[in-house]
Amino acid sequence: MFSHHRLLIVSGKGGVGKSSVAAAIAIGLANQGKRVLLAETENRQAIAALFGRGPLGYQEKLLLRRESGGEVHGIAIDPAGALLDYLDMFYGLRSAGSILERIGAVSFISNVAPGLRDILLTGKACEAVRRKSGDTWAYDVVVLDAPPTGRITRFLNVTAEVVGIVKVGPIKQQANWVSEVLHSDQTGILLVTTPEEMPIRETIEASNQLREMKFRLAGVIVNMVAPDQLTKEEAISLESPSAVDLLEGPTELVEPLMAFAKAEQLLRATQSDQLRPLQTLDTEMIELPKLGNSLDLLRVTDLAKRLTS
Amino acid sequence: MTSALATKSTTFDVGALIRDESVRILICCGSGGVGKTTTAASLAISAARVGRKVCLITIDPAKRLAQVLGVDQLTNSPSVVNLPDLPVGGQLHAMMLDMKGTFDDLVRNAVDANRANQILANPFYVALSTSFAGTQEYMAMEKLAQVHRDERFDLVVVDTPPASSTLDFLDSPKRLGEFLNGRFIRLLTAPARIGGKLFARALDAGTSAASGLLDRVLGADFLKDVSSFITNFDEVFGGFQTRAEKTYALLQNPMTRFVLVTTLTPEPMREAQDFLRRLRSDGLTFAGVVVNRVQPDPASNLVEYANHTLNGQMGHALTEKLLKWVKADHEIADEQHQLLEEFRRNNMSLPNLTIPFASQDSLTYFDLESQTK
Repeated sequence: MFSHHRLLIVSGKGGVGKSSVAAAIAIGLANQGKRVLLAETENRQAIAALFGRGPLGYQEKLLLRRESGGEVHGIAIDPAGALLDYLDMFYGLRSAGSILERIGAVSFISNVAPGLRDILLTGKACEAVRRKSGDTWAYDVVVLDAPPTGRITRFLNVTAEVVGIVKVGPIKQQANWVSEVLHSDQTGILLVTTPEEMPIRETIEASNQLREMKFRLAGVIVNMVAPDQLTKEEAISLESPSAVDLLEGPTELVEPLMAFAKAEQLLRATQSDQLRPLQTLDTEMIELPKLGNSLDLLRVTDLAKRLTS
Repeated sequence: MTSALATKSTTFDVGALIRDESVRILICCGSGGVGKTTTAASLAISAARVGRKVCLITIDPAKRLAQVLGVDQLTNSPSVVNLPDLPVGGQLHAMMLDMKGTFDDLVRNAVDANRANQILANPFYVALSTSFAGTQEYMAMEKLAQVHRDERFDLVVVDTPPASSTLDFLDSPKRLGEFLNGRFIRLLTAPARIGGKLFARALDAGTSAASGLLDRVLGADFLKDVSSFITNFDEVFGGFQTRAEKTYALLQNPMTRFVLVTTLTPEPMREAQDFLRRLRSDGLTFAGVVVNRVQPDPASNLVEYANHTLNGQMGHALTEKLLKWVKADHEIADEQHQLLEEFRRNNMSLPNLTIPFASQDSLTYFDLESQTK
């Protein structure tokens, strides 16, 4: 699963389970023995909630370790932390941070100066990708739980966003570097959707835009698919007049079971119809079943197994 | 799902709400992906069907919904939607919010053409009007206030932006104001107001070191762009702050009602709870909760049979498959039921309405409509 990627950027429409799928990917990779950093950028604390931890901050924390040596670490990247980090790394100026903070420049740059915010967030993820620990990478893979599809192209299009505002100087150089990492063949974008009209439409729109911008789509993950299908023969037999004879059980239950079967089959047929346009994307497509009403760590771990099998 | 109504609670009477002529604004709020747009559209359509003159401000309608509304023609100003069988007086207009267009119009209306062009061309303005977190929310509110003043309408129904959390919508005008009024921006623009030299002397060493650093990091052009933007924008901005306050007052007026949309999953419900708390503390008037996409529970005798038989060996493949589905659906329904019960316990006497899950979003529109008959 996505074995040659070092940065996986996960996006999707609100409500499709983007964060859970990002976590499932991280766990799946750790199960294969990889050291993974799972990063969120929207301060929703979804990772902390899922792993049953206190709020995550800018400090990377170990969330899970497998016997194989695989690990999942977590971080909640915030723009202010990333800015101070950046100043420190490139200028040795962590102390200047307090002055900037005092006059309100940190909150200005990191939150409201348009374009800069995104480059700080993506920049931190790229830094983690390229970070060395001795002779090896500090992390084998970074999984970025990115903003929803409605904002993803702008989020990743750092150079274009920054170029209008900052024409020269280190931030411009930083933008170029980030852009290079984001466009590398080790970076892949995964779009999460559900088998419904709106999320699928957004997925297709975002894929096309991202490809136009020369980003690489690693695949589409269809989440919450009704598990299990009827075989063709079963579906046809349910339509036949003698269908009731095909089912086993107390007579008074056969009729309601028939009605139930037809409704469920309709739902599955509708879902397949909805999914069809995704084929035009010509990318890897993975379906994940709907496991209950909401995803806890146990279910996400189950999804991780399905992703890697 | 009659069993879900076990806890005593009021049903959200949508029919009464849309017939109430003192209600002039309906705002649909909720976490991303819960069906706000569909709910807003179905409220608007239902209201037109009971004779209201409605304008729907939508953000990003789904295709089928768009077809119903004739979205191909939808622009940043209201256009008529031809609904069949409207009663006398009933009317529906719809528009799709254009964030940048609304912002540009605001600027053009606030200053002379020359100044407006300067602002519109400033790269900092371009970035602010297209990608500032909160601009879309602010512009939705701005549009709401404009349409509310339009005498053609007696009800405005607003859909809130998809990606934002429920609280973002309420906080965005304040955030934009804080941004434009922030100390840092004031520092940057002060030279233009009081004369550069005087200002430079007034700066303490730390601050001037800080702006020196920013010049190094961001490039001198950046601060110049910000400075010229803010100076130009000041006239517009003076109006902005007042506007934002007025709009918020409009939201606090009881003629504005908030409809909360949620699904029965933990995160949207957490957001819903935060939002309700905020509504109470800010004196905003709450209309009701629309609980969307509720999983229907299979008939109880089927569930019982499934639980019973699936424990043992089942010889019949098709029946076994179907009974597994029964069990899976029941488990989801059960989890949802518990979340709903908890929500109702925490929000006693809150009117709410459950909408069954439909495989296609737009079907909920018909469901909600049937509730109002």
